[in-house]
Amino acid sequence: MTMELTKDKTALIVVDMQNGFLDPKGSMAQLGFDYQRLAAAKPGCQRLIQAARKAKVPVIYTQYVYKPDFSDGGVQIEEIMPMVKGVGLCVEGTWDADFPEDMRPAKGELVIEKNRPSSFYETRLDSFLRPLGIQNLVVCGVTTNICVETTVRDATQRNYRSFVVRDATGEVEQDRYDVSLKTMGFFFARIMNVSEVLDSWNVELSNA
Amino acid sequence: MPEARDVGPLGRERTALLIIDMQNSYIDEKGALGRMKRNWQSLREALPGCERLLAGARKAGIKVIHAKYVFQPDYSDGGVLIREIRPALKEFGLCQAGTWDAEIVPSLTPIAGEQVVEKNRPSAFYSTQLESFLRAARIENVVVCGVTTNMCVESTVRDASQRDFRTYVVGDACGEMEQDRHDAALVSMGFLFARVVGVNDVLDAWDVALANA
Repeated sequence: MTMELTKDKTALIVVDMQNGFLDPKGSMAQLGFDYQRLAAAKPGCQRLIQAARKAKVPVIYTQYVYKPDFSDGGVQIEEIMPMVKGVGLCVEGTWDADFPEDMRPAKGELVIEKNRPSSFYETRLDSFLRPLGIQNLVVCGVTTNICVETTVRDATQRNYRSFVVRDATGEVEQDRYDVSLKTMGFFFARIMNVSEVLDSWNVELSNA
Repeated sequence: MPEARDVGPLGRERTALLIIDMQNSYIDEKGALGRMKRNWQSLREALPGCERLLAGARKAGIKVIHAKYVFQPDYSDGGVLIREIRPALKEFGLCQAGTWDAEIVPSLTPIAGEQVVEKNRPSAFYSTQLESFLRAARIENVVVCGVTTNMCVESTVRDASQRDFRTYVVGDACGEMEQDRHDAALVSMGFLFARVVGVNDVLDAWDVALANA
């Protein structure tokens, strides 16, 4: 793997860091999923966001948002995970779909709403990245095996160099976290740590 | 065999069989992976299941689509996957256009009326006409088999499901070089993207009996 990361032509993609996934009162917790494994991604994401702002690397947040009646959920909601309707996972306009108080997008940072795992599927993400001349995507957030991995598979197919940040991503089950990083590292991305990304960007954080 | 699995509304209607990358490159000893000394044998384990599904689909009149990984002779279409992540695939001539390596294995050779989708990325949906073929034929259910489970099969299944096709991945008609990635891929796909089924579940749903079953 020869891919080198710098801050040039690079964007940070923060995937689905929303109350519904991260908060003990959120939908995932209500469904009995181990939300703490998702919340574990938060400190790493916060450090990456802080560093990106310092290095002038654009930060883009994705946000999983469904219509209140889940009419846009498709087969994944209707047939595979209908239980998320009962708890109102990431319904538009609700607290569940919102970002946590302590990691809200700053003025000028882009938010991409999506209703499928991939952040590229029927969203404006590609149209934001191309005009900026972005070639490298540093990807963090949740969940590792589902939305992060689907987004990374898509990014690489679209010829972005993808860098997945191991300690800034989380999955509800340890085995799916481990194998997802292995899968992405096999063919789709370079796997890095937060500190390696900061070094690549030449950024030091005072609270590191 | 495990107990019969839930196939939901799968039948012959509005259903297509999608066979992924069953090419000499991956499952013949003399193919690129064999020349790279990779574990092509584990990929070949998908072949009997794919053969049975193909025979079943032909008998039941189900639409068959073959996806083929094909690169230009100079790999100019390989993108970052070839240029930066796996340059060795180029050195070994994996799935190079016009070569024996890129051909579908003889026992699964497409016949008249079956569509072939050439692709140069893991997902059979990315920059191909696959979706237009499926929509035009009013397909709702896509049964997926082939290689490799964790790479092209899984990328395709994730994309099919996002596009609202009811997606079935046939575990015993897929193959991966490492058992743990095969197993984990089926778990991942089953979590949000597909129903994981067996060849016999599909043949039963299609109400097909094969002489050599």
